[in-house]
Amino acid sequence: MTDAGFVIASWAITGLVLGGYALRIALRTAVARGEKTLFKPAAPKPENGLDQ
Amino acid sequence: MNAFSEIKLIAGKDLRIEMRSRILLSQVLPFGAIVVLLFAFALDPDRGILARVAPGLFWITVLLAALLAIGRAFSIEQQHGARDGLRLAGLDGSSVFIGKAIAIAVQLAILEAVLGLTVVVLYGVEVHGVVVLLATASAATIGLAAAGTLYGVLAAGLRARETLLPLLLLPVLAPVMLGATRAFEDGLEGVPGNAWPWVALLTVFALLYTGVGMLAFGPLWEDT
Amino acid sequence: MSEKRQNRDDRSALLPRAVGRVVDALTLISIGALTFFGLWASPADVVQGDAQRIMYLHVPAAWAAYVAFGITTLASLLWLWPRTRSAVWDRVAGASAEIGLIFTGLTLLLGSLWGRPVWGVWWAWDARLVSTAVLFFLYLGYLAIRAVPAEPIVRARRSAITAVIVFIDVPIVHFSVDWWRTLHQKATVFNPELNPEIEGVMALTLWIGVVAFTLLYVSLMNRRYQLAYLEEGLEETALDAAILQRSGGVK
Repeated sequence: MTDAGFVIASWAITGLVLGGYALRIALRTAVARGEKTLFKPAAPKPENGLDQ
Repeated sequence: MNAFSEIKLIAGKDLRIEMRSRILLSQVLPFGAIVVLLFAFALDPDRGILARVAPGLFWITVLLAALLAIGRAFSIEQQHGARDGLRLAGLDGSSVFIGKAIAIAVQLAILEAVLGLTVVVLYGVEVHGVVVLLATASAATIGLAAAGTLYGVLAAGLRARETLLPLLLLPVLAPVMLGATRAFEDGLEGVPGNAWPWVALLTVFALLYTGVGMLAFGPLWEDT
Repeated sequence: MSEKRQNRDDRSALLPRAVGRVVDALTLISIGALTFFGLWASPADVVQGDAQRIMYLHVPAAWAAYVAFGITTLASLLWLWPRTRSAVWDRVAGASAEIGLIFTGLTLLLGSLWGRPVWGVWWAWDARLVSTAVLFFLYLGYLAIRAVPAEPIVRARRSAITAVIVFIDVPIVHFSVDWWRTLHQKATVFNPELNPEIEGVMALTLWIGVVAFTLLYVSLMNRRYQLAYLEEGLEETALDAAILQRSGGVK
């Protein structure tokens, strides 16, 4: 691999690591807000007087 | 009861339990011995590698055995409500810390003496600079015991403590391992002058963790 | 319920909404600027050639990691100090440590990628590299302690004390590793800063990198803090819901 290759790889890895982390936070935030459900069966039923 | 008798009480209790159960002698020591033996399988004993890297192997073995001893020091508090009894006894947190650390240090010292002898015999190490070696071992043992007691109480009572303790403790003890190994190397090579900065570093480590342990042990102990 | 969550949401942010937006925007702009300067505008290094461009990510990432761990320590001390004790500091400490760990991991990865073309090896027993690796494991342990469930106050106290213990070890690790690599290897084969006096566009690029990563840290912190806040609330409401469900809707 050439030097330039290593430079490109370093930028790509930085993007992947930090982008992936930011995405993970966003996803978990959405789950915590109840905008997204990861495990459908575990969600409380509406007839119990709770929304999703 | 003054602090001194409290410390004596705790250290005496832990050592008495050890005297009666012989976990260190019958389990931890043999474990260390087999590790020493296994290193010889991993590194060809005929090429003189073992004698050269003996200090490092010795301290790794001590570190691994210390993990077991520290785990044991807190698992004895789990049974028969011993922890609650000790908490209700109204002892000062820092006394309990010092007491437990002394008990661990005594056990580690015995462990180091036996394993050291094993390493000298099996790896064919020529012993030089006994003063430096003893100073190093003392400082390192106090450091190991202090940091070990502190992390031991942190992990005590947690569900994953067996796996958590090594992960927490080994990075913290990395400087002890490094310093003790270098000091032993310098001592054995007959250049004790190089070893003293390491002994100083080990002493600083021991003092720092003893101080922090005395402060932090109480609140952590209440929570376990 | 969703209204309640909305209320919780508004109080959950570390920064006011408008400030958060500005930070996000500045973060993106500065990362764009860093990419432009780092990959095109700055000249290739005389000694290291193009490989030196990795420095523009590596050094800022390390800087951000130190900032993050520093904030973790500070927040933990503020939690331990009775007058300033607040769940806010616990969340800040945890969020900052996690981000710091990501940056430390990135620093190690980038260091490895830099080492290969410059030193010819993926990993060298360089003092800074080794102490960064130990740092990584120290904070991995801290986050492992945090992950153990407990009463909020117990968990917060345990975490704060761990953070302080871990932080005390950082200078000791640094010194010991430094001595180890200098006392025993008189001539260091390599020096991470082959040319300490960088000037002009290269220095500017490095500064842009530091600014970009600092902004990125703040932006991530803002989000991660909010997440910690929301998940705490979720733990409470989820428990209520589970109890409600078990009791067949009878309170």
